[in-house]
Amino acid sequence: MFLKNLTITISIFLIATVFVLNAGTGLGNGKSGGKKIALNNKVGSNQIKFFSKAPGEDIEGTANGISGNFTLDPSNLEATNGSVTVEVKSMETGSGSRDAHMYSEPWLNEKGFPKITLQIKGMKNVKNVKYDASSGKATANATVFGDFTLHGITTHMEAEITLTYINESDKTKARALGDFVMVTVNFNVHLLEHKILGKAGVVGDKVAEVVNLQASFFGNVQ
Amino acid sequence: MVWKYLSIAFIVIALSVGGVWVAHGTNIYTKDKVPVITKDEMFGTESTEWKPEFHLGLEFAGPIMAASLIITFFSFRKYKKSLLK
Repeated sequence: MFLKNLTITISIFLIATVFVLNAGTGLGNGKSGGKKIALNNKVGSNQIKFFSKAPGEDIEGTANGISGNFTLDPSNLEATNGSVTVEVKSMETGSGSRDAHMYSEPWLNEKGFPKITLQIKGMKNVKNVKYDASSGKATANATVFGDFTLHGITTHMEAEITLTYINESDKTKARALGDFVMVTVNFNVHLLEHKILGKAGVVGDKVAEVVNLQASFFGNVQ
Repeated sequence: MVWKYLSIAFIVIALSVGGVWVAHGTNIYTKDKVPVITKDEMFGTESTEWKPEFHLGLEFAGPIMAASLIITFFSFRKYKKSLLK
């Protein structure tokens, strides 16, 4: 009898341990289940800022033609997945003639590769999870990983993100319906990894070999 | 005498264009827009919008200055030669 009870106890303990180890990190806001989130400029201005710091010139630009959606489970952030697409033609640097060069070959070749895509496959290292019940706002930091396709070449990418989840309220309804999600991402793109060679001698002199991207994505739960 | 005034006029043009180029931020490319930062109060983030504003770049300033300095140089030489006659 004792042996039977011990076996049952150990089994329950093992099952519980496996369950706990497999469970993802939650935002602690009482929400659960995979929520489909569509990027929406009514929630906030979806934008990617890019910075090139080279000895010859510093360039700062933006891209606004952003669309996409992702699935996020507030009780299991690691299971997040989705995709974001950026129109190359929406990139601008404040100079029409420089933008024309940027769209052309041997730079981004907008005609051949009109879109830049980010395929999100999951999150890891979720930390600094905070939830403020009074404002209905939850935040967390994490590392997002997936595939980044630029100039027709796909590379594995990992980037640090900050996730903000805001419960629907009268304030949010003034912009759009549903809970709001904002993700800020900071990562670097190595031009040569994507075979963006530019004109001879320009990359490394007037255009940095590594371009820093700072993205802000805003969406609402559908 | 006309060479004297021509050389003065073109050195003034070269210096003026150079001054405008420096005042506009010594850009290589001419800018037709400048960034304007707007803040989102709900999320505390900043986004960039572009406002039309002209900033002369070296792509235009460079050839204008070079041409002006060349004209100044030859005009001044002609002026000096005319003084010797």
